[in-house]
Amino acid sequence: MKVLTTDVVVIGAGAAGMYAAAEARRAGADVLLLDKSMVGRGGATIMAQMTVAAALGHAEHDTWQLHLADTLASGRGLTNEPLAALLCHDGPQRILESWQRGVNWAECGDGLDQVKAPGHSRQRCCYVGALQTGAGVVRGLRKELRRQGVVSIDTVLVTELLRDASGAVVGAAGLHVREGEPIVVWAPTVILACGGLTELYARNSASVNMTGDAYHLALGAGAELVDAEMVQFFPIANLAPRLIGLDPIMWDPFRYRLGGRLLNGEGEEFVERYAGVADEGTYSATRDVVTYAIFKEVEEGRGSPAGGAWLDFTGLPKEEIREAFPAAYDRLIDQGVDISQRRVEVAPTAHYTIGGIRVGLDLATSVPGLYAAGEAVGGQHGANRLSGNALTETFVFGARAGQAAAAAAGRRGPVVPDATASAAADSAVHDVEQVRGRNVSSQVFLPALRSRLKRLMWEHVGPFRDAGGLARAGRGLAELTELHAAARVDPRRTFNLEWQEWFELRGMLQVADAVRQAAMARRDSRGAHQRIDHPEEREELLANTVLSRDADTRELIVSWARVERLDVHPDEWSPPEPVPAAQGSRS
Amino acid sequence: MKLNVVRTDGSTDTFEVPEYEGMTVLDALMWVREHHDPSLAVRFSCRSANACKECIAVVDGARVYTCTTAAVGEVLVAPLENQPLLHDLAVDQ
Repeated sequence: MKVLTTDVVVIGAGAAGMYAAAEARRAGADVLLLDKSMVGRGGATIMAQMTVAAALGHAEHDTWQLHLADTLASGRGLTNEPLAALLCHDGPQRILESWQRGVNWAECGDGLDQVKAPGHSRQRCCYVGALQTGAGVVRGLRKELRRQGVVSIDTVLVTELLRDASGAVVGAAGLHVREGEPIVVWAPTVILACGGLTELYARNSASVNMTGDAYHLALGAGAELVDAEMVQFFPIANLAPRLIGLDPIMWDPFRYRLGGRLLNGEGEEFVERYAGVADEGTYSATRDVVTYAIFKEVEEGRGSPAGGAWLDFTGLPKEEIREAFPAAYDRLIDQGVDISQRRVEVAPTAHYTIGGIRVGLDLATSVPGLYAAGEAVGGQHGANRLSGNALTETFVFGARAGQAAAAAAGRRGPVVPDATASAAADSAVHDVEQVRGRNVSSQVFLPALRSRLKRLMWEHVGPFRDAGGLARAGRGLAELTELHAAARVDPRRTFNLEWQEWFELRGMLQVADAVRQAAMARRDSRGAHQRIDHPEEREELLANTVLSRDADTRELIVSWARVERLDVHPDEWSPPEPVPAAQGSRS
Repeated sequence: MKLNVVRTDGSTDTFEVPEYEGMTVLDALMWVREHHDPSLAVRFSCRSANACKECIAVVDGARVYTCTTAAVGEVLVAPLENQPLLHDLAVDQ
C-alpha cells in the first residue's frame, strides 16, 4: 500500500485538472495530480475537436456581458448566473494566458482567430488547427505542468474521499491500477476534476472514463449535486456508415464550415418546424432543439434508414471539403466514404453532463476542503450548454479552484489524521483489497453489466423520459446492483481491469440513480430534460433540483433551490478576487 | 472473424468473434472482454476517435492503433515489445 501526503490533490487530469494543478502549484502549494487513465489523455478534453468561447473581441467587437447574455439565453432560466458570469468574465484572460503558456491557438493578425459557433451572437470561438483543439490544449497545458513541477500519478482510481471527525475532507483513497495496490493520499484540500457521466449511456461521444466519478465521490462526502437530470445529447453524431478513427461528433464543424443540410427520411428540411427559427445556413437552433427534432421525426416514421437523420454535403466540390478538413477527408476517402457523392446518417448521442456538483464562486462545495472544476461543476449552463463553453469552464474553474484550494491548504495546514480519518482510510483500503479475486468463478462479467446499464439508461433515462420509464429504470438498477455483487473479479494485481471496473460500476450505479431520481422530480420539460408525460415548461419548476445523501440512511434526498441570479447589472458585476495563498507565491 | 491474442505468459488465446461491417480490432477485443474473458487486459480511453493513442499494439507484426485497424478474417494481436509489459496487451506507456 502506498501512503502519500500533499497540500492539494487534484482528481482527474483533463484540462480542468491540469489547469487547477498548475494554478495551485503557482500559488505555492504542493500538488498531486491523479488520473485513472493517463494525464491529458483519458478525460474529455483530448476528444474536444471544436472551439472554445471567450469574448476576446479579436474578430469583431465583443464583451463578456454579450457572451453571458448568449449563455443565459441558452440556459432556459435555470442558469446559476454568478457562475456563468465568472465563466464569461474570466474566459478571455485564461485564453490569453494559456496562449502565453504554450497552447498554440490559431492566430489571425496580432490576435487569435475567432469564429462563430451555434448559439453565439459574435465570432468568439477560438480553436487549434483543423479539429485539433483538445489535443492542442492538452499539449500546451502539459508544458505548464512541467514548468511548474506538478507531480502526477496515472492509473489511480479514487474510490472514496476521506473525512475527519469534523466532516472536512482530508484526503482520498483508491486503487493504483498499474501497481495493483491500494493508495491513500492525505491532503487538506481535494479538487474533483473528474466530471462527466456520458459513459452511462449506450451511445456517447466521450471517452470510456467518463463514468461519473466526481458525482458519486461528492455525494459520498456530503456535497450536493445540482440539476443532475440535465444530460446534454449532441444532435448530429455519426450513425452510419461506421467510421473508423474519426470523432463521431466531427459532423458539427463540417456542417458549420461547409453548410451541410440536415434532412429527414423523406429528404425534407425539418429543424425549422421545431426551432421556430430558420436553421439551415445559420445553425441558430440549439442542441436540445435539434435533438428533439431528430427524435420526433424518427418517432413519427420520418427517420433515415438507421434511425436518425440525413446529413447532406453532396454537390460540394471535393476540393472545398478537402481544403477545409484535409486529415478527416482523407480518412473518409480511405474508408470509401465520399461525402461529395453520398449522404451520411446522424443521430443524437450523450455528449456532456450539464448538472453537477454545487459550488460557490470559489469553486468550494458545502464540504470543507472539497472543491470542483470543469464538467464536474453544475449550474453554469442552466438547462442547456452553449457550444464552446465546455473548455472555457475547464480553464476558468480549474484556475479558480486551484487558487482557492492552495489558499485553503495554507490556512488549514498539513493533515494529521484523527481517529475518524484513519478509520476511513483503513476501511477504504480494506474495501479495495477485498474486491480483488472475488467471485472468481462467476459467469457474471463486469463489461457485460456495464453494457446493460448503458442500454437501460439510454432507453429510459435518455433524451426523452416519462414516469413509467423512470420507474422501470429504477427496477433495472436494482437488478444490476444485485448482479454487481455477484460479478467476477480477476485475482491478479498488476493492471487488473476488472478490479477497477468493479469500483467504476459501483459508482455508475449510484450516479445513474441520482440522474434518475432528479429526472423523476422534474415533472416538466426544459432544455436537455424532456419529459414525454410533461411536455410543457412549468413556471413553478423554474428552480434547481438539489441532490444529497442522508448522513444516516445514505439514501438520496431530492430538494429544490431557487436559481441564483446576479444581484447587479452585468456591467456593474465583478468576480471576487482570488484569496491569496497563505504561503505566498512561488515566483 | 478469428482473434488471436498473446497473453501475459506468452501463450496465445483464440476467440471467434462475430463480425460486422466496420468492426475494428479494439471492437473485437471489447467483445471478448464482454462475452468470454473479462480478465483480458487492454488499454483504451477514447475508443474510436484515435485521440488517446492508448490502444497501440502489434497486429500481425505491425505497430498500429487497434481502434483504427479493421478486424477481418484472422488477426494476431500482441503487446508492444519495446515497453515494459504490465498484463496481456497492456504495457507501461
